[in-house]
Amino acid sequence: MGDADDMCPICRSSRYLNPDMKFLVNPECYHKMCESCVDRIFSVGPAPCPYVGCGKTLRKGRFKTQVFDDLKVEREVDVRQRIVKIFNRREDAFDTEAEYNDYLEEIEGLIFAIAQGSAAEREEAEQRVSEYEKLHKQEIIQNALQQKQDDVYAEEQAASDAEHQRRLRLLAIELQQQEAELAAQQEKETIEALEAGKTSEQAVREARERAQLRAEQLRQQFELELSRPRRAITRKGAAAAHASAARTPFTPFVGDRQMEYLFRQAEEYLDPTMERANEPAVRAGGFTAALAQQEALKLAFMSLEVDIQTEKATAIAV
Amino acid sequence: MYTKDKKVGEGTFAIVYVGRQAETDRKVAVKMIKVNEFKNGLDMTAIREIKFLQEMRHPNVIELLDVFVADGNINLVLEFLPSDLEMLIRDRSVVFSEADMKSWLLMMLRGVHHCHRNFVLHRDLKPNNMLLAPDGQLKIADFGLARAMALTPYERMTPTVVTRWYRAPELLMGARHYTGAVDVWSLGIIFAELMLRVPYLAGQTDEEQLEITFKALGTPLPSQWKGVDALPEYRKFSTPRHPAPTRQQLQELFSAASDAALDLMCSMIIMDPIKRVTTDEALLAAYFRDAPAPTRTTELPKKS
Repeated sequence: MGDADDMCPICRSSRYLNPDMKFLVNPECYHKMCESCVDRIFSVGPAPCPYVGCGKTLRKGRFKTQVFDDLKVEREVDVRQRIVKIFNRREDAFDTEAEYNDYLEEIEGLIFAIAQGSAAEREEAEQRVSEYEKLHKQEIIQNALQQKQDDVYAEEQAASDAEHQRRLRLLAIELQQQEAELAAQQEKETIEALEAGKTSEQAVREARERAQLRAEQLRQQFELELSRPRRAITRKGAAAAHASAARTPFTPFVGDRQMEYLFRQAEEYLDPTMERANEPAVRAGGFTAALAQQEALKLAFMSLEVDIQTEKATAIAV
Repeated sequence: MYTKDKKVGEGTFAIVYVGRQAETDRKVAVKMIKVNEFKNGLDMTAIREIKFLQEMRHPNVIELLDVFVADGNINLVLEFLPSDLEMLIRDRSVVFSEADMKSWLLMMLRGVHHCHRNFVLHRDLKPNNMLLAPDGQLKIADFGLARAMALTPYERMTPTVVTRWYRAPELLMGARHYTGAVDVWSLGIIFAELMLRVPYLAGQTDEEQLEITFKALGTPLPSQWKGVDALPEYRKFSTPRHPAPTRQQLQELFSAASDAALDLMCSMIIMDPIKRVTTDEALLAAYFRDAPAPTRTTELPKKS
């Protein structure tokens, strides 16, 4: 490690004097400085970068420890984090793998343009990113939420798998122990039976049968644990999205709207009852003579065109 | 024949039971109106509910199955609907997609359209009264404040209807001759609430409600809303004047809303009731034809 790495270019203090010195960078310009300089310069609020000729306004909250030695790499990682948060469409949202790959390629292209492209390329990519973000706001939030749920689910899955393995191991050990115990017990029971005066053949057979039964029970328990169904990951695939897209065409009224009436409403009627409709307070409430007259006409003509015989014939069974 | 299985709620005028229709084993809600306690006759809301629900059959309006009298009490047998839109809006763990909101708004508009073409004003539309069937269908309920539309300018209606947050400005200013536009306003506010997940205009008092409405949507001038200055409560609240929000401000507030969604919402909450869209016009809006298509009712989010 050279001298330059150990000296803050702003305050010129070195690691020799301050062994705990930490260097921070800001993703705005990636100019390195020590922690105490950051505290000193940016504690009061945003300030310009102290590097000569830089002048970018930096905020204290954005400073971070540099992870990679190579600034290019550091920068790309930062950009990638930001872009992937916006372009977060998931694989199952695509119909074909090729489409998904195109999407990934587009993301890589944008990251490259922003991290390493020329000023013009960067500008263009940034514009594309903010456009996409604006257009897909709702989707981005949803994808993030979905991803979070999936992460939680995967975590649970891993935990339940580990638990399953642990139980299996414990059971296997138990099985071994019990088998040994059973053998010992079988021997003991045989001796006891012989002492009780049974014939050796009979005693041995009985003890063996009992031992076999117990062993069988244990094995069954083990197998049950082994075969216990573990939760499978279910995913809503593109196929399901497709299925919901192909359906009956949309109609706002579901065909339940009267479009034609038997009457034609005149522009104006000689109607003394409507004189008050011109009063401002009546008009301001939304009441108009035309509307009221239309309602009256609808009421008067309501169901006049209904032919009960045809209506009966085509009636839907309720 | 009906059985009453469990009491699920009690209000001032009614007790609600969950029960079953004996012959079909269909789950129903039995609303028992307390008549005995009232010397001065039957509660008005019950009469309204019976009067209007009996007339209407629509997938998006709650079904009144039967009315019967037992032990001197009137019982209304209604469809049993286990949840409502308010529960869903408040449940933060449920995510609404644009297609879901579209589907709900569509069902609300269809239900209200059906009321209006039968000359019924609902006058109490709010998320709480939008009940949800197990199959996802949304049904408008609670016709306790409903009435027939006025056909002449001599019929005076009371302006103190609709739950405050969903009350149209002409009602807040005391108009006595109003139209179906008051219901459209409520739906517009519910639409906004679906997008925001919090009540859009939440005033603590009637005065404050008008103030908040104007703050959000601009104080109306007589030049924009003819006759507004003649409304009884106009003068009281006309100062200070708030400017109408710009499109950009609305876009910032409803950040997830598409252009078509915002257009429809704005047209449903135009101050002047004559300029406000009708349910017919709202149903024909581009919003419903644009992608994404409304979610199928069976696939709508449910209470977790």
